[in-house]
Amino acid sequence: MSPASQPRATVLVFPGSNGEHDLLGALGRCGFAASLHPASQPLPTGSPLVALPGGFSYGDAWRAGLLASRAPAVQDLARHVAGGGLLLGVCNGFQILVAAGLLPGALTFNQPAGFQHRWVEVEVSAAAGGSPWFAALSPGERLRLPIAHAQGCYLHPDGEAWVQQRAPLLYRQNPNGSQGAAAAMLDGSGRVLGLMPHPERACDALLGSDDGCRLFLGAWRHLTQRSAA
Amino acid sequence: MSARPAATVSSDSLPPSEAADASERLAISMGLLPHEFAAITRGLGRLPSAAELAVFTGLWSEHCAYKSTRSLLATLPRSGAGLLAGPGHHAGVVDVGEGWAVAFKIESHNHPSAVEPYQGAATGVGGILRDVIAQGARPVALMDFLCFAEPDSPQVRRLRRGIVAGIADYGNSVGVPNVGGRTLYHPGYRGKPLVNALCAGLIRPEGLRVAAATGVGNVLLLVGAATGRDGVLGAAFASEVLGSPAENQARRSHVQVGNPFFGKLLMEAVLSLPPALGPIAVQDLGACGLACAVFEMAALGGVGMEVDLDAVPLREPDLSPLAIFLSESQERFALLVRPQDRAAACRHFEQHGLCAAAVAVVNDSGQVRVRHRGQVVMDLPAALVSGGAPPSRFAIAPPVLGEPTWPADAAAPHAPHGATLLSLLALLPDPEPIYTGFDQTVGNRTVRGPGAAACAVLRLPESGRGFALSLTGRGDLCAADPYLGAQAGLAEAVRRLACVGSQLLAVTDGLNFASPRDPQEYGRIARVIAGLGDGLRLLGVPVSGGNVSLYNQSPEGPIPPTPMIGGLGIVEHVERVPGYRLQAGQQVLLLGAIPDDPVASLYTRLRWGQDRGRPACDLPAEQRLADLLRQVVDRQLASALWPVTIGGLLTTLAKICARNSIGASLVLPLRPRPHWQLFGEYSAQVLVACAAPQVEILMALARHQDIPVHALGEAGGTRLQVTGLVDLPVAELRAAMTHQAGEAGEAGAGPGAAHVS
Repeated sequence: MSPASQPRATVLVFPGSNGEHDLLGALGRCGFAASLHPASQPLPTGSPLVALPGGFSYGDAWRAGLLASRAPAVQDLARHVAGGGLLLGVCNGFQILVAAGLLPGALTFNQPAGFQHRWVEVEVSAAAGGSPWFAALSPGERLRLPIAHAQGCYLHPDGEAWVQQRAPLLYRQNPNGSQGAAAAMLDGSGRVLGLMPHPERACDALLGSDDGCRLFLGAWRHLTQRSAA
Repeated sequence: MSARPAATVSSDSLPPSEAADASERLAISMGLLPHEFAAITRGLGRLPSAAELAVFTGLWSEHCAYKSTRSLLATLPRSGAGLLAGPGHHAGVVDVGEGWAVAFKIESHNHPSAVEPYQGAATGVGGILRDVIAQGARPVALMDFLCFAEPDSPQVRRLRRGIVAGIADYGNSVGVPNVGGRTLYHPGYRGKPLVNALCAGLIRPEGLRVAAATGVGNVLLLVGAATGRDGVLGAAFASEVLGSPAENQARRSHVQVGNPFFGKLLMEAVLSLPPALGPIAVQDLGACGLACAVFEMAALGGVGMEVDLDAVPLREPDLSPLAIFLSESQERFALLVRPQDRAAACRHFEQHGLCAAAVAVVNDSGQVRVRHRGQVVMDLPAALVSGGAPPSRFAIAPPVLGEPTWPADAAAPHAPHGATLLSLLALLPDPEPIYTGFDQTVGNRTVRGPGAAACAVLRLPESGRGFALSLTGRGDLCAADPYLGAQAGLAEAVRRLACVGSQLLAVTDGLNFASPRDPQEYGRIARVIAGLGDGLRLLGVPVSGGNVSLYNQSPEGPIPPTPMIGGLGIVEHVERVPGYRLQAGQQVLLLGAIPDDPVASLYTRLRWGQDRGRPACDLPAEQRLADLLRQVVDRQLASALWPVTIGGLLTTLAKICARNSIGASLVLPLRPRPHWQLFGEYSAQVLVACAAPQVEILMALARHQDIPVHALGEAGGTRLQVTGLVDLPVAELRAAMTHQAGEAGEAGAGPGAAHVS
C-alpha cells in the first residue's frame, strides 16, 4: 500500500497513446504513486485517480476517441467514478471520455480546421467551484498551458450559455472555435475532468510553465484529506 | 555452389553471346550502366536473371550505393571524441554525458515529395524515425528542412500544404515533437522541392544496436506492417531525374504510403522488446525493402541467408516474388534473433497488433538464396550486391561559380534602405504558420522549440543538462560558391549553437545535388564536400552520418547544391539558455565586425537577380565569437541572443522587432557602403539584448577577447529606426513577413495571428 500522502494513480494506455509518460511523470512530480495500465485490461481496483493521456488512440480512426471509448478499462470507469474516484482525460483522453458518455457534449474538428500547437492562457471559471480538481485554484486565476490538437472544438446541444455554466476553464483567446471558449468540461459530480490543454506538459517552469501542477495538486489535496478524514 | 535461379530460363535457349547481349540490353533498360553490368557478370561468373538484375538496379542505385559520392564522402572527417557510432551506421551516435547518448541523422525524401507531397513527406519522417530506432534509440525530436521556389506561387502552395501536413500528421501521431526547422525559397527549386527530415533519439550507450547478421542458424524476423505493392523500386526512382508534372503523376506507384498509427505501434514494440530476446541485429526496411535489409545485414556480417518469400505476411495475394522482395511498404523492421527466441519475439509483436514472421535463416555460405513457391528465384553473393557496386565514372569539371566581380554601381544603394528591407522580408515569410501545425512539446523535453531560440534545446531525462540541435545550410550561397557556401552553413551552425551556450560536437549532413552526370554539377558536388571537409577539420568536428540525394533537377534546371547541416552540441545548464524576446528598455548590442564589402547574400539576388560574389565565411572568427558567447550564456549576461543570418544585420533586426511587436532606436558606425553593412551577410555576427547594467560588462568582456562590439541602442516604441538609414513602423515589417495571407491554414494551423496570445 502507498502511504496516505502518496495516493495511487493509474494512467491508461491505448494503442496510439503518446502522452502516457508525460502524464505519469507529472503525477509522480505532484505526489502520486502512478503507474501505467493497458486499457485492453479491466480497470484495476484501489486507484483513486485514473487518467487518460493524449495521443492518437487507434490512429483517430473514424473519430478521435471513439474506438478507445469501447476499451475494457473504459467500460469500468463509470463504476470508478460512482465509487468516488477521480477521473481525468487530457486531449485525446478528453475525446475518449466524451465518446464514452462520461462527459457531456462532443469534440469535433477545430474551427479554423487543422492541428495546432501553441501556448495558451486559460482562466478558471466559477463552474470550477467545488470540484476537487480545482481545490488549489480560485475563479479568475489564469494558467499557461500548451494545446496540441486537431479535434478540440467543444460543442453541446444546449448551447453556449449552458457550456459557460459548466466549463471550468475558458480560453482567454479561443483557438479552436469551442462553444463559450470552453477549454475543459466537468461532469455533474465535479470529479470527472476533461480538458484539451496539456497540464502534464506544464509541470516544470524550465519547459515553459508549471501551472499544470496546480490541477494535480488539487486532486492530491482532495485525496489525501479524504483518506486522513 | 549456388543453384541456378529458375528465372534465367528465358535466355537459356539462346546461344551464349546472344543471351549475354539480351541480358545486357535488359540491364541497360533497367538503368544499369555497361560497366556495372560487366561487374555483375564478372562477380557472378554467369549471366544474371531478370529478377537478379532488378535487385542490382535497386541496390546499386545512387540512393543505396552512393557510387558517385562514396569516394568524396570518404574525405570527410568521420571520427572524434564522443562519437560512439559514425557513418555506416543507421544513425550517428554521440555521447552527451550523464550516461546518455544522442543518435541523430538527416535524410532526404525529395523525389517522393515532388510527386506526392503528403505521402512523400510523411514517409520521409517515418523513415528517419526508423533509422534512429534501429540504432536502439528512442526518438525524441524531429526537425525539417524544406526548400521551395517562390513563397506564394500556386504550385508552391500546393506542395507546401501537402508536405507540411505530411510531416505534421506523421510526427504528431507518433508523439515525437518537431523542435525546429528551416524553409528556404529560391527559384532554383522550381519543380523540385527539397524535403529533408532530421531525427534525434536518446539512448544508453550500452543499448547501441548493430545491423550485421551473425550466428549460423539465427532467424530473421520481418515485423510490423504486412507487405504490399507500394514503392517497388523507389530507390531507383529516387536516383533519376524527374520529368514534367504530367510524367511525375505516372511515377506515383513508386511512392510509399505511410501509416503513422502502425509506425507508433512498431516503435513501441521494437523499443520494448525484452533484452533477453536480443535482437542480435536490427535493420529498418526502407529503400529496396526486404532485399536491402537481407543483403546489407548478410554482407555486414559476412554470412549468407536462406530467404523464404512465402513466409512474408502479405497485404494482398499473388504478389510476384520480386514485388515482395523489393516492396518499400512502410512500418517494417528486420530483426535477427536466436532460433529459440523466435516464438517469444513473434508473440511480442503480435501482442502489439503487428505482423511478425520468420523469413530467413543465417548460414555461412555468403550467398543470399531466395525461394518462392518451391523455386529458387535468385542466388547472389551478399558482398557483391551490397558493397560491390563499382564507383561511377562520370567526368568531373571545375564548377561554374557565381559572377565574382561587382558592377561599378554596387558601391551605391539601388533603392532606399527601407524599401530594400521590405523586399527582403517578403522573401523570408514567417515560418510560424508552418510550425504551429507541429506538436512541439510532447515528451516533456523541449526547453526551446521553434522560434524560441537560435536552435532547439532539449533536456536529458531528470537532469539540468541537455543538448542542442541546429539545422543550417544555404543553397543560394552554394550556387555562388559551393566551397565557401558549404562552410557558411557550418559557420551558422557554430553561431547558433553558441547562442544557447553550446559547442558543435558532430554534424549529420543531408547533401542535395543535381545530376552527377553533368560534369560541372559533379564539380559542384565535389566542391561542397571539400568545403565541408576542410571546414570540419578546422573546427575539429566529425560527420556522424548523413545522406546524399542526387538528380534533383527538373526540366527547369538543376537545384542549387544544397547541403543541410544538422548540428549537435551539449548544453551543460539548460536553465541558463537565454531568451529570444526583445523587450522595451533593453539595450541592443552587436558582437562582431560590421564590414561593408560586397558579399554573396540574399541582397545580391534581390538586387541583381542572381547568386553572385563570394560568401563571407570566417570560421576562426566564428570560433572566437562562440567562445565568448558561451561565457556570456554561462554568466547569464544576456537576456537574449540572436545570430545574424539570412538577409544580414538589418533584416535580422527587423525580424526580431516584428516577432516581438516592438521597435528599436539604433545607431550604426557608418562606412562608405552602408547598404552592405545593413544587408551583407558577414560571418560571426550576433545580436545581444541585455539590461543596461550588463552593457559595460559585455563590452569589456568582448574587448578583452578582441571581439568587435557595438552598443547599437535601445528597444522600445513602435518603429525600427537606424539613424540616417531606416525608419519604419514595426507593423509594416510584420506585414511584409506575413503578406501571404493564404498561408494561414496551410500548416493545418488557423489564420493564426488573430487567435494567438
